[in-house]
Amino acid sequence: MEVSEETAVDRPAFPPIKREKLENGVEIRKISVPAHRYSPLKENWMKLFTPIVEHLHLQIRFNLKNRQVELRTCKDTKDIANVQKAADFVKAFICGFEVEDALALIRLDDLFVDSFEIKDVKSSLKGDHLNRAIGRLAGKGGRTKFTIENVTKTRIVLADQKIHILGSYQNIQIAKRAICNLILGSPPSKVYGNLRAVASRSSDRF
Amino acid sequence: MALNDESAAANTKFKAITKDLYDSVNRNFTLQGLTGSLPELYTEGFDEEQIWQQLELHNEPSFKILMKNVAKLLTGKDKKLSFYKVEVQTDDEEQEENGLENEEDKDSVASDLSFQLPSDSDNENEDGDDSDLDETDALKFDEYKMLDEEREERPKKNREQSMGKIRKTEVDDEFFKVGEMEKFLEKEEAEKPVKDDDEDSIDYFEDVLSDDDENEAAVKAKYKDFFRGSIPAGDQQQEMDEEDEDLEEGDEEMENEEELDDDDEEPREKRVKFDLNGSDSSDEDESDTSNDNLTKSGGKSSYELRQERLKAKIQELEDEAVAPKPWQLMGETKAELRPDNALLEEDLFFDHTTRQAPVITEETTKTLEEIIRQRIKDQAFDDVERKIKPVYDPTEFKKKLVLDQEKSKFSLAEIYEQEFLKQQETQKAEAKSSSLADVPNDEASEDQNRAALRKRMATVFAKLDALCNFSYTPRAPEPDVKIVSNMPSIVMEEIAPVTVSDANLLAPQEVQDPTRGVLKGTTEKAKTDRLRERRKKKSAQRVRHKERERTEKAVDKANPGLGNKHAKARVLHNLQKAEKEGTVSLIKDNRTKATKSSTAFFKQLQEDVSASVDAVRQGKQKTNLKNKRSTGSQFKL
Repeated sequence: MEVSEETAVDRPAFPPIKREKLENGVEIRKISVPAHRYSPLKENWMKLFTPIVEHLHLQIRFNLKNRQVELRTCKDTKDIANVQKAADFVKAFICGFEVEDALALIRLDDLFVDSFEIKDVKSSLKGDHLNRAIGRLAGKGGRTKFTIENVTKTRIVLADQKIHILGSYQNIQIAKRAICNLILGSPPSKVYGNLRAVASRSSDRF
Repeated sequence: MALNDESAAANTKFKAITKDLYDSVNRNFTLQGLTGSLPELYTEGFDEEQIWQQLELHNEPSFKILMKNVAKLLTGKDKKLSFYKVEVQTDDEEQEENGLENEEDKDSVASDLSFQLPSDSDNENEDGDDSDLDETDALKFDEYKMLDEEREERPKKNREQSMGKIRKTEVDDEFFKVGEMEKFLEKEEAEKPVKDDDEDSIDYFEDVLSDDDENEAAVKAKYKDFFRGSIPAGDQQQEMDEEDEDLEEGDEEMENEEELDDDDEEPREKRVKFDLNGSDSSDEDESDTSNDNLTKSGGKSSYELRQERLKAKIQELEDEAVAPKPWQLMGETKAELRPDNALLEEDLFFDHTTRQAPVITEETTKTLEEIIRQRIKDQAFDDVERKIKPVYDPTEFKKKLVLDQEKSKFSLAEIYEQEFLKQQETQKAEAKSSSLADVPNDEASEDQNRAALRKRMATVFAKLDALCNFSYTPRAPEPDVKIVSNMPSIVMEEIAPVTVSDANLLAPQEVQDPTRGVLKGTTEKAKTDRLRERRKKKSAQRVRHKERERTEKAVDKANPGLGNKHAKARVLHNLQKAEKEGTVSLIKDNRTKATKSSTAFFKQLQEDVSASVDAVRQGKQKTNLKNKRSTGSQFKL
């Protein structure tokens, strides 16, 4: 995967931390689960569980009292960075992505999740306009959303007023631009056209 | 017994004699080219047969060689024979001396003797031909020696043959036999006395009395007339006698003189030179004062003669110069001015303006065929290849990018996985295709090497491009897909439009398909055009109708009856049509209107019923009418 990073200033290079340097040697991550994602979590628990434990060698549990998913390293974990990966994975699932899509986060390094709200794009949208904007985003039967997903190789979650995009950095940008255009009022055909042009260019760059 | 002893002794003596003879011959007179003969005759202990065979061994080849020599002499290949001393053994010297004396007796002319037959020598002396060795080119020494030997041998034979047998040579034929000639000449020579003594026989060298006046001068000619230089001392006394001989031998010596002129170093006494005053040689040196003593008729001096000749020549040249030139030297000549077919005899030079047709030889055909064969092998033909116009339509490329509007079946991870695998495969394919030689084992190290190589090659090529100033043909640019909607351009570019322009972004041909052919107005159209249009329209209609039918069928299958909108619409449509036609009458639905009063209600009711009754009555009347017309007999007149 390609990640284009523009470095205007030389970044300081920090080597990855080793477990020995940590105090306890144990890293913990906690991800809180909202109510509407509770039952999906219950249904897909095993699917979440197996890759984390088997492939990443971490310890996972769901704290019922806090309604939090907790991740912890143990002696078996080979790489400390896996914790972060796992955390991202779980967070993506909680955002609304499907397990298989979120699984890509574990497998590929360069995938990210970008979230924003509609009011970030256009704050003046209220009431029906907002609903229409959301409707525009989704399209009839979700067509527009799927089109954007397919062309840009991303996954989009429309959670009422929040929008989450999962994918590589550049693809996220393309999808974001398309969505913003839709929010701002462009007709979908136009957005498709622009998408096509950009997508072909980006595929060539590969 | 005594006879036998005598014969045996005779035999041995004979053998000894033959042996001595053979040995002496072999020692002294070896023939040139004779091989195979034994150096000496071996008689002791040999049979007579064997001795004969030895002799044969010597004689057979020598016969051939000797006959060849004789033939040469007889045909006169070497026209002049000069005689020279032969270094032979002592028994021949006596004969040699005799020969010398003989030589002096002869004329001085004899130093360049003409052809003398060998039979002559036999009469005088066996070695009469052994003359002085002069410097002239003549028979070779060996040849002459051979000749000498031959002559030595021949006397024995001649004596044998003079009885009656004639010698046979190769030259003989019906009319001429060498042997006979020799015999005759011998006889003549035997009878003929010393030259000047006999008066009865015809002296061929004597003066011939003739009546011709022409020959008088020739008859009275003297030595001085013919030969340059003083008379050799030894021969002056004999000059008177021999002057007649000059005439005869003059002809033969003309040729000799030409050759002998070169040898001027010789003392004048020996050499006799021809006086060429009467002929056309003008390059004589006048150192000879003897020319002044000439007494010729006319009395003109040589100078005068020369002057006359010069004058004649000058006159000739003048005449030539003055006379009109021949046609070859006149500029342009027509056919009338020159004789018939004269050009054919001339060697003409002229420029060929046209290219000559090529001479077709075997070589040229060979080369051509070689070229043809090579071309066929290389498949390098000169055929004209069809050019295909490349398509640059952007709509074609639009179609390639298909927008999938359905939820993707693969998850994101799977998509990325597929992409990654595709990339790997392409890399592998590239790596495989780039290798020139098919290396069976593709190891990782080799790939690395190849990658490194590729990098280096890329740098090299970049440098080369820079060196040649980037004059290379770049790849043809692929058309970039650009989505353009027909909106006013400024709206697309700026968020806050400061100005608005009317210009459309799409060109007219992108909005509408280009019309092919000539546009015709309605009045301009011919019948064919109108029919064509009609056909087009009908076909389009048909297609559309078919499509609709297909979709409706599919929909009907899914939701049969009146479940789908298409069926409902159809029914409604039929109903409306029927109402228009009159088959169906709509019951005007006034029930929605609330009847305010009872009278209005009852009125309505009455109307409804009466309408229905009327309808029924009408129907009955129709049937009655139909029934009335039952029998045809009622219509009978």
